[in-house]
Amino acid sequence: MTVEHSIIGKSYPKIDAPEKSTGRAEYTADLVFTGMLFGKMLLSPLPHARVLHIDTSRAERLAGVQAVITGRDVSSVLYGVSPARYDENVLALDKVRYVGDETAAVVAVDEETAVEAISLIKVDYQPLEAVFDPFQAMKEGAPQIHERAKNNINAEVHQEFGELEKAFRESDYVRQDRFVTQRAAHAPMEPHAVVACFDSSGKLTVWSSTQVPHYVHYQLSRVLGLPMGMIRVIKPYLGGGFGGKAETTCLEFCSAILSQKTGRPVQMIYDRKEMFLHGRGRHRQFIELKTGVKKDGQLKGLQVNVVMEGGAYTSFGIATIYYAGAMLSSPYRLPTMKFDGYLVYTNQPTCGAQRGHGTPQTRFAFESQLDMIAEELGIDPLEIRLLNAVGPNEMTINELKITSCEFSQCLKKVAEISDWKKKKGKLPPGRGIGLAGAWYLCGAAYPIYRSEMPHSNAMIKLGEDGTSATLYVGAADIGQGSDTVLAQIAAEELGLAYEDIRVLSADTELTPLDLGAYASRQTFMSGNAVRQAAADVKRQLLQLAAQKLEANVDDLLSRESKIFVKGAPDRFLPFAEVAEEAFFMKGPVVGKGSYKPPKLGGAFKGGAVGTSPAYSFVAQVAEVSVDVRTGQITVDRIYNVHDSGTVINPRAFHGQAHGSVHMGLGEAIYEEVVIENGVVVNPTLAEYRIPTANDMPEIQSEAVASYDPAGPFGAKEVGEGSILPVVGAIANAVYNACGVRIKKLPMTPEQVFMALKAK
Amino acid sequence: MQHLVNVKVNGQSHTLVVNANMTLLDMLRKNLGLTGTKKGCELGDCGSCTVIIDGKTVNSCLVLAVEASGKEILTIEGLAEGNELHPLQKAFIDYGAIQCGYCTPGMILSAKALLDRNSSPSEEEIKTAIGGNLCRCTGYIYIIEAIREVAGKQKE
Amino acid sequence: MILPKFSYFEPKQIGEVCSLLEEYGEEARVLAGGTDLLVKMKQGLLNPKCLVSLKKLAELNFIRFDERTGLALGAMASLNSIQESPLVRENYYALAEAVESMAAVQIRNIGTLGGNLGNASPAADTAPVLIAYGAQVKLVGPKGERRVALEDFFIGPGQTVLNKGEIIAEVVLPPAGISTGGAYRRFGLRRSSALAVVGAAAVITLKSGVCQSVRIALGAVAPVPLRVPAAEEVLAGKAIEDEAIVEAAKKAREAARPITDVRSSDEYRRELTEVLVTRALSHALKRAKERVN
Repeated sequence: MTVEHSIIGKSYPKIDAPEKSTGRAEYTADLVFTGMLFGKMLLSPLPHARVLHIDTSRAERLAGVQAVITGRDVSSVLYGVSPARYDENVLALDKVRYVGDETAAVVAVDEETAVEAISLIKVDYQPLEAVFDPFQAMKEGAPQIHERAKNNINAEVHQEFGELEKAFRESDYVRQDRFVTQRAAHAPMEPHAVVACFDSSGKLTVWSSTQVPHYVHYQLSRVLGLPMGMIRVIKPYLGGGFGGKAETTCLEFCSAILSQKTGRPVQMIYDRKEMFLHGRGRHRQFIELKTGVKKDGQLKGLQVNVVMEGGAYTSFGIATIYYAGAMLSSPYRLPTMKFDGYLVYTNQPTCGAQRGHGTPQTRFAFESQLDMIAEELGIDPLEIRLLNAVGPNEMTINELKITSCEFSQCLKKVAEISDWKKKKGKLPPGRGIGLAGAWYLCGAAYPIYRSEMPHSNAMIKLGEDGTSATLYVGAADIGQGSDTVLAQIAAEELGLAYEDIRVLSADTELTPLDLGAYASRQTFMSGNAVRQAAADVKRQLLQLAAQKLEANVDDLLSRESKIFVKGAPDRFLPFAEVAEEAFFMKGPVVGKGSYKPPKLGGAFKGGAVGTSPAYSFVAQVAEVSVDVRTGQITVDRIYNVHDSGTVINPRAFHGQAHGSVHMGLGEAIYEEVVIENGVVVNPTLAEYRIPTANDMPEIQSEAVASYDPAGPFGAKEVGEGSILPVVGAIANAVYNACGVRIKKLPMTPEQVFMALKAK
Repeated sequence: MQHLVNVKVNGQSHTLVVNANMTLLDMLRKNLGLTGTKKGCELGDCGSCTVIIDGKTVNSCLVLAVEASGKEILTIEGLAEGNELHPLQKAFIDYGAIQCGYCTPGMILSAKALLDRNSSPSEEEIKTAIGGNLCRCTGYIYIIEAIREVAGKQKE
Repeated sequence: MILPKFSYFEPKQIGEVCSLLEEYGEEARVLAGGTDLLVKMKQGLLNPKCLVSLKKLAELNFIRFDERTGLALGAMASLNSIQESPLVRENYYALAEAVESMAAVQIRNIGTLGGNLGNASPAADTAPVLIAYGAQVKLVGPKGERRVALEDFFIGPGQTVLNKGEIIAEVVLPPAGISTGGAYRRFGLRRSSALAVVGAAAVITLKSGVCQSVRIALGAVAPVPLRVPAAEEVLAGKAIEDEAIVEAAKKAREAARPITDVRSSDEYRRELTEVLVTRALSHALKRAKERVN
């Protein structure tokens, strides 16, 4: 579908970029309030221990200390992400479960005093036996980390779709492989920060570096026992999230409690090491895949077993384990599938949601195995993918409803721009090329807690003189550019210039509810709400303009700040004139919109996970060089083709692809949170090595012509889909380059070298 | 132990009394309110706190405030001339080189220090110049493009 | 993150530095660039009561070259000033190469040569290459000056022969012959801001196509930067062929005594040693030949 747009499809500069370029953009750690105090946490040095006694008296006596709190002083309401697994205390009550578990908090006149006070708190621990390996943790007699979870099994998933054994029997070739992925970290440049302040009326305001103001709002209300109307959560400028800021943390609770105790604003910030201990990064998964195919490469059945090391608390873990299996049902047509998954507690920092949530791991495994199958059958990796590629308007075996889908186009285009046919099998030794595909949701179809609420909402108010429109939207711009994209959507629908749109976002008091930035939902869901709000405003203006132009409302258009009669461009009124008159006649010109996904998903347990009103599709090619003497992999080029529906802002679109490649490359080769006996041994950005500018390949990012009927102006997601194929494409290219198949992440030079040596 | 620090920041002279254990980063942020200099890791690993001292980039988290005495410091706040943005700032905005923006001040200052010394850097030289500035959002692609653009214009 | 409290001194005379260091003894630390020291203090690994800054000692910040006496580098010369120096690049290219491989621009702008050596990390990149160039360090202390060959300067991780009150003042490299070529090859787990997993330096001087002298040194494979005479012996006095380089690299591998840590296993470090020594020797030889021509 081609529609002429005046705003959509243009690379407007990010709406907040000027303020960010001058250093004037204030992030949460930059906020200063009169009388503001600084808070700090005491963290457990032991992986598993009973807390017998905490002596805070010396800390309390230190000059400058304003308050000290322990688990006994705070609400004992448990919190977390999934209501079925609220398992975190604000501060440890009886037990600590990992090195880094929060046991006490202090607030003082400055950071230095707070740090000193922390060192003066004495905790008597009774050490307990700890367990770090998920397979050990599941054994009879292993130390039990949570009372509720026998054998430390936090959640298990057993799903079967179709008759798998029969499918294997009917297959010409069945192969089984085991893959192991690493624990990764989001490593945003901005560490988590919060300022909390109770005002004199008892209302709490929390400024938080959060991706999800609404969920923070909700959890603060639950845990602190305050009505939501007495709490306001504001997200200031935010320095990167990637899923790590998608849940409420100890910082929000403790700073609020400490503000209540002291009557002053309290700021709390994690340092970089605390960021690694707080964790919530990508789970380590132990993956077994068994796949059956016909001789021609047609997929018949897939059996997936995943054991996932969850760390000490659940966080997003239940969703994560379901996602690990659910998202393998496409982008290749699968007639049968069986999935068994286990989420296991260990005495290590908690894992959570990270860009691609639970799925990059199994995607890497599947794309690797698909290449092994193709090789065995003598089929080109591109051909086996095209043969099985899912198309539009299909239902996956686990009842995920695909609507718009240009996956085949993605594959063809990526083959074309990468010169796949000329390169595959024809590169010199040490150089290789690899392909992988993927898909991802455009927002989850269900909220994290059960509710009938609309997921995204927006309001627009026109400026009284009609020269601007202000968009009030709860969506969280975390750097991905949702404010920009939503302003473009509003401008296009209203017929105003992009520059005339003001955006006020992510403030639970001033903006209507939005579930926030996770599961790639802002463009699609918030975009739909914004477009509706803009249409509401426009309708009001067109009605007025129709009278004045003596035309039928349906014959009017609003474009480029003019309202005119279709086909008669000289019969027009300036948008501002109509808007001002509307205000004079009826007061504020406001519009509202809201978006709620349709009811989706199968009736089976976990049927909601993976449901989405639309899906994006990606195909990616990696070109690598391998130094066979050292095992060092150099990724030379990545070609990425993403079916993102209508592209609202091309530079923002490509920027998301580039960032996805960055994180995927890091996980492929460089990044791993290394834990020894429960202690993170590399909690720095020196030893947790995200790629530097020198490590990045050339990237060619492209879109395909695509339109999603349910997306705003046909748009779909881009923020997460492109990370999914990266690791598999690189692994396949490494195999092509030097003949070693790496099944354990990251693909360190040492690992590649040892594999080469063993060959 | 307290020390007197005389320092010129963004062209303006300041005399401050600081503790020996205060970093330049904290002095800029807390004493002078220049929060454009960001705190990302505090160990010199990320480059978010990059400032320019006497023409050279440093991680301000690894410089003591007292060591900065007698020096001229440029922070991101001192780059624009009034409301006229520096060409690097404009290019970063126009080329989509800014996502979350947290690395941006340090990144722009590293780029400035490069271009001040080398008006036509190669791609490799650009990458080396920003090799100590980590960015988690952009993959550096548009950052490098923006710097190249400014270098190209300077050359003309 | 907060630095622990300390007293801070910025003496303007070396004598003052030495007496402060003597007075405070173990409680004092010399602050050169600070890029290692302040990190360790922030991480709680060091907690000195007193920091003695060398930044006001202009006399320690220089780079001088004389064809007869060689290269002299002040301890406070910043890593980048060394790497950028035409004197260094022209005559001791491998040193520039080693510095370029280190950390990132911001760190190299404040990090100093004296600091890199005094810190005595087994993985320090400047140490192997300076050892290969036959460097000596000039130490200044309460009892005056002395010179020590750099290969004898280190005694263990973080430990050197520096006596109480003594500091590194200068690093001296002998003249680089017209037919001398050097190379440094290191392996890091990322292209910027990564410590060396293994570093290998080689300096070869040719005379009439024959290896007149060769020095090979390794980083990150022993408690101290390691010179490997056994590897040198394979090459000295011969016209160097590829087989000899391979043989020398094997000897270097045998001499390596690496550990396993978060960056690498000891076994992989041995493998890398062989590869990197091969590559360093090949490049050094090539450069020596190029200089002759």
